[in-house]
Amino acid sequence: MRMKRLLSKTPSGFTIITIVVAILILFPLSAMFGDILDAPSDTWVHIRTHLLPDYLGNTIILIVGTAVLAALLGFFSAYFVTFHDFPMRRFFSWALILPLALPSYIAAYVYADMFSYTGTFARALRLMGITQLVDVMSMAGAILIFGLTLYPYVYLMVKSSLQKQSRIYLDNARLLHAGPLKRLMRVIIPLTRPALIGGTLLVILETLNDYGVVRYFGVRVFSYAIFDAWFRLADVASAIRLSGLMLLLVFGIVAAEKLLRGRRRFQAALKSSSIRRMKLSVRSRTLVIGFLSLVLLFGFGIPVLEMIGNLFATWHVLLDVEWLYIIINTLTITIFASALIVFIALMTVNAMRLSKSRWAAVLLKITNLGYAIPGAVIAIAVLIFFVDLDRRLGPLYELFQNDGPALLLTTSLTMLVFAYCLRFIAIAYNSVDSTYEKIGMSYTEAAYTLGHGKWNTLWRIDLPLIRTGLISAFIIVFIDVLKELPLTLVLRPTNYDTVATRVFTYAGDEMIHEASGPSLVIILLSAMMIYYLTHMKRGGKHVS
Amino acid sequence: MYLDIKQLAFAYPGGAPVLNNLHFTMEKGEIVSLLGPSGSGKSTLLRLIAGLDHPADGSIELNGVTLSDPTTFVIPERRNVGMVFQDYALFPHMSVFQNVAFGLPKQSRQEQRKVVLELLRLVNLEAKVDRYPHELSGGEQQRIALARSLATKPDVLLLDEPFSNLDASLKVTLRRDLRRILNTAETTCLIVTHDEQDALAIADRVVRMTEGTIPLK
Amino acid sequence: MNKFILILSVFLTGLLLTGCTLGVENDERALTVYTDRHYDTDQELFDQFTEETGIAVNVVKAGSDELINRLRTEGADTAADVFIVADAGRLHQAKENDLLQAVESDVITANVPANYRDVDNQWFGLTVRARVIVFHPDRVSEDDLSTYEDLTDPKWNGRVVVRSSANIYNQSLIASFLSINGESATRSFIAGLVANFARTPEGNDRDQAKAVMAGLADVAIMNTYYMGKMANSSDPYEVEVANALRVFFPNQDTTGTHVNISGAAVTKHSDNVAEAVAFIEFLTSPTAQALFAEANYEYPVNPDVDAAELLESWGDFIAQDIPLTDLGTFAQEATILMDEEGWN
Repeated sequence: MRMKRLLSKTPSGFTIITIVVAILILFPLSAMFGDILDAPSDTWVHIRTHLLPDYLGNTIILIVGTAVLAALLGFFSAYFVTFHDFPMRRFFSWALILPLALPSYIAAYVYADMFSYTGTFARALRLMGITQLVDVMSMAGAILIFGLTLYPYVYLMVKSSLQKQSRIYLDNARLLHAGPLKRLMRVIIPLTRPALIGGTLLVILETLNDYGVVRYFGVRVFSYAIFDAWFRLADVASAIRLSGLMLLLVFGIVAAEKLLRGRRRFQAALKSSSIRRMKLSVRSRTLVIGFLSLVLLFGFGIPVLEMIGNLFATWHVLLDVEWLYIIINTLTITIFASALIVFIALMTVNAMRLSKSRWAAVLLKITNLGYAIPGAVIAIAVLIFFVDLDRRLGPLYELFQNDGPALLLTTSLTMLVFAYCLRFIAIAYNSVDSTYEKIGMSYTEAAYTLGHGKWNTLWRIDLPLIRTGLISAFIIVFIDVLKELPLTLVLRPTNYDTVATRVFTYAGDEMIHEASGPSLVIILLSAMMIYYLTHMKRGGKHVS
Repeated sequence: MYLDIKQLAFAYPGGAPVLNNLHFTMEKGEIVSLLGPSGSGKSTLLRLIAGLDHPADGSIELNGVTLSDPTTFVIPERRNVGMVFQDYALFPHMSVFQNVAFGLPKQSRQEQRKVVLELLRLVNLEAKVDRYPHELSGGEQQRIALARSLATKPDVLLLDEPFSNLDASLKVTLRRDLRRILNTAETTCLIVTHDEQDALAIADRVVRMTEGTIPLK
Repeated sequence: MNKFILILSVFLTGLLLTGCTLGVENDERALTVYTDRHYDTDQELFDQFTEETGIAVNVVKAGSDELINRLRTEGADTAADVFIVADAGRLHQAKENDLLQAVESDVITANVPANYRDVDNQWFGLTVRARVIVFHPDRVSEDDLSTYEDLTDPKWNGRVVVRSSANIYNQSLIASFLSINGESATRSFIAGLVANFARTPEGNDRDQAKAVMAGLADVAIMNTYYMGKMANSSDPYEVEVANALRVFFPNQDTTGTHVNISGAAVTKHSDNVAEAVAFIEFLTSPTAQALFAEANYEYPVNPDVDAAELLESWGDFIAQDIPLTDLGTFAQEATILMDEEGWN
């Protein structure tokens, strides 16, 4: 059916869905942060004097180090792959996303194991007569691990931005006598800035959120303090207060970036002409391939090979029919949740595009909050919300089933999916939004003036245009949900196992070698998804 | 000859030839309009002179230097050819000052400022020195792009459809302005247009182009 | 009208339906267990229980603190019948939060010695782990070792490794010190120990053993459980480490070696108390205890069951004689002291 409705004053379906989602998200969060205003407890004083100063300093070192490393790795790999021609370019173009499939905490365990006294690396060194041990369990090690496993966020966003960048700017710079370095520093990097910052921000948020790596390495950062407050001091209120502080830190970073942008703009409506890839000399070609191989090797190849090696002694952990169910479970919920999240992000972005009001901006901020809050804290907020919801809906349940479970939603998968949405909408939003920014409003508006309704336009005009962006949003969310642990552990229904919870079964018990099997399943599923989605063809044209 | 193009040919890979056996010359300081319908290869000729595309055959010589022939190819940044693109392509993240200063050689801040302000005075936009491109009108953007190209003192300045994106009612003033700026800057200038009136109004000489070549007179 | 809404609603309905039926087995008699232990051995035992009794066991596995929070939030509506956690302190915390109920069972009382169960019979130990000193025989002679407190002596300067204070094992070790020696002695113990650290704490228990093996330190404070696990690891190099190092039970002539337990409790709002009690009776029975001991290298609480051969080979030891409840009572103070004295 074709809707004849044009842009009107009444809120669109997009806006309504966005508002509903925002309210749903706001409820658990406000209930949680409401307590911040209460008087601080004694433990809070302890945290403030003994933990906070150190932890803040360490956090800043960690996120600055990780952000710089991930931005460099992500930007340059995207830059080489987009603007240069060299053997295996196509392979690198998709393979460079692979480290995203390797959860940071797994990488941390594997590297620590390899470099420990009994590890592959240390043993190899001993064979050569070197008994010195390399200590990866340090701040530097943590920065390297986060940088190497999280740079694909930057890579994906920068690559798609570079592909859309108009070549005219580069041609122009050349005619103004700018050599390759000046073009890179003064034209390409600044024009990619929104994507570079967007990707780096995701890296920062993931790093802030991590608990597994920093706890294992003994690097005392903010998330450490949050869990300290909760687990060791049994003070959930202080944990939430700390999360609030961490949110402030994130907002501070975002605001500082906005301020630095000033009145500058990074997009202009120019006809984009397709990129022509530069042929490289043999020497630079070797350097580029060397660089990309190293990134891929350390971010993916080495840990994965090590895990495959471990698997030989521990393959029995995978020998269980149960695994079939676990994989089906995992795929079902991950695909469903990812699709839902991308859908909500699509709605939110559209609501934002159609309305320029401040309200819309506020709603957006709310729906995006979840990514900055540690998973375990969200888990508690969501649990409280659902138990409350179930109690309110109790009389309704009675109508249908007299003796059913009192906590219907709480014991169902709905709660977990809701929590995933709360947590990951921001990532999907970021990807979808940056794609939309590139196509601008004109196609959409043209469709409206031709009498197409909003949904119809979305389906027939926008979707084909932003397909690539949607796919990369889906990949990122899919992999994130697949790796997710704290929410899944607490909020899953009884007897419900995913591949990630299986990893935890062994990793939590210091059985790194046994954890290799399940970890490889995560990596394999993610890698297959990445391969499939980057190689999907449409009209003979590669998406990658 | 100052600019001497011989037997120039160009085709996109696997496509029909865009230019073939093109001969074209210019004197120093001359302002020439290249007139032709769209698709006749005018813009391609500009890109070949600028070095943004590689010719299939023929040679381009400028000021006694061979820029391009079957064995030589000087990369764009070494050619000293200026070009104002059809949509100006001002760097959106740089202020007017930074845009104009982009092509200037390394020099002290004060000298740079002096040169930029001089150029802005030439195009009559001194007041906009700290603005960003999106804060300017189309005509203003064009003049800034012009100033930016002139900053490198190019041996030849190429203008691609300078009036196509501008309001028709302003055309008369704009033509006069452009002519004045080009005369003051004493630049050798090749202007591509499909509008005969534009061509006649600005140029010392009009050259017609059809189907990828310039017919001999 | 639009395919989105259609697809979405189909998905959502499907999800809700699966959610309602999923996982929960529809047997007449079923138990729900919240546990922070996630060992394959435990699952084997649960299956065995189902086989013997016909009572299905539904499991939620998550971190102990998250589970306590979940129990509190769910209140009277909780599906949980049994709560299992690997720390007496947490069991105590659950009791204090009024999440557990007292159980009278002669079977359990006979299976579990009094010092490994709650005074009010609200929780019962299942297995015991000792926190011991592990040393390298080439660099340390057993005669040099005596007590935990001795490790603060300057002769150990730069020779001691232990994992971070964020870990529950250390928290419970210090809590036991507070219970036995009081605050000021405990404070100077922590300060002295920190002064002798060979490195800033990092890694887990196994990593401490590896550090001793590598010569980064000469002694490590770690759990017997992990020494057992390492000696039977799938990684032959870990086995080598475990075989090369020795276990020493400290404080045998004074206050005893620090131990902590894994324990089980019936939740306050359980609807299946009889089944829950039967379940705990089963877990403390000699058959189940033998499996805990053999497969997981924990000391069984049931005195009739022998520990694994490897553990036996380390010899008998005297454990601290304190109510395990104290591990919970002093947990927070322990944390604060460790932070104040700079145990990272």
